[in-house]
Amino acid sequence: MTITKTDVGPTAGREVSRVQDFDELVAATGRQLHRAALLLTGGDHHLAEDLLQTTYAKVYASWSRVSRADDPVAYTRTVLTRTFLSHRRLRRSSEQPSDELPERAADPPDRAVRLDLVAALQELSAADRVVVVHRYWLDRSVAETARELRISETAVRTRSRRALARLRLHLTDLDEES
Amino acid sequence: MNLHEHLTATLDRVDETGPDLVRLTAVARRRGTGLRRRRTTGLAAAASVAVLAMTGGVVVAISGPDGTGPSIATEPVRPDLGGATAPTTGESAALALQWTVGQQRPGSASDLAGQLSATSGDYYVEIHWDDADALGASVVGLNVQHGRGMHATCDDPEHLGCRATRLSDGSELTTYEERADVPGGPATRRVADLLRPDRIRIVASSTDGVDAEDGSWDRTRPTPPLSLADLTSIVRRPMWGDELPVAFVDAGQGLEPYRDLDDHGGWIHGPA
Repeated sequence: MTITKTDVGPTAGREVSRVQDFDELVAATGRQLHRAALLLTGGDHHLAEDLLQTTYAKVYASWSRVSRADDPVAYTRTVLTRTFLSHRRLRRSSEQPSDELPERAADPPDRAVRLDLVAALQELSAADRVVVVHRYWLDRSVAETARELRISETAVRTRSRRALARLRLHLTDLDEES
Repeated sequence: MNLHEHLTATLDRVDETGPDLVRLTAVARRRGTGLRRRRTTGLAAAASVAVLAMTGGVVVAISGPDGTGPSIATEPVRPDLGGATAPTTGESAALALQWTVGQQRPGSASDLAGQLSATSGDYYVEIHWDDADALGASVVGLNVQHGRGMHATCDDPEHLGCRATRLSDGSELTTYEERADVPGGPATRRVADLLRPDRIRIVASSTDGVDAEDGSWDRTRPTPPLSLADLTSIVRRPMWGDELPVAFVDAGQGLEPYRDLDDHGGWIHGPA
């Protein structure tokens, strides 16, 4: 039996469209945002998956608003990072201070160092890590990062500069203009 | 190398397979549907729901049996409903829900869970209810909100068999069923939604199944175990509010097992 629009009715038709559009958004962004979630959560696959699922669940729950947004992908990125930061706030008491990064010898850029990059990200403050992920993984400009994170461009630059200085302790071959 | 190249190389090693997008999509849709549902009956404070004028209705008064209901397999608390009270906690509210359901139906509860907002005093608790009819488990939920003025109406086409009434004490009661087309479903939920004159809203619900491990809906029984009359009796109990009978609060201290939804699903509380 062929189901026509009349058969499913206007409400069901909207639901089908919502599902299709949402599925397309996940297909287009899922892999990149999954990796962003991994960077934010220190490479914890379970936490990253939960963060990403929650992000998309929120997006789906607010689909009428998301679909009207100028850039639904940017909206989704914002939900991801704000959800991450919100979660961090809830668990604030268990966070470790990250003001000082231990001194370490410069290792060659082999596999161990690459995996250490995840650990180094964990040593950044959550807010600095979010900026790094937006700027250098999601390739957002300073202005876009500021807009999506709702902080000033000055704050983005300051956090980026501070984070890169710390990451250079691990990545000796990191370009100056990263 | 620039940082993006470093990150890419790192991620290629720690994330060789990438996410399961099919599963991710299905679970996110199911959880999103649940979030939408909780925004109208739950704790999500950002929801903006237009409150439509209630039409007049037949006055009904359904009294719940106070303390005289059938016995249940697990009934750890015997409260003095007219006695001392203490500030509500998530644990005490879950125990109170367990007790009130037990007054309506024989059965047993497990997997008590909940969350309570320290700022608003709102709370949401749920239990897995195994009814004595042995047809299968159900999630019974209770949500208490203060002063938002939101209340379900029968104008929503998704509210099936909806009935809106104004009770003799001035409370507004809406009862209905809703069905969600989810993997493993359709899932059916019965709801009683009461807005009291003191602006406290109490919503009780019962489902025809439980969440499966893979995120789909495990429809365990043909219908929810609690009738709309059962749910109405639960929401009409006057005890729901900032404080509960002290027996629940005492029993809730250190309650194990108890699942704190704020902790377990902490991501949920971010803005979206």
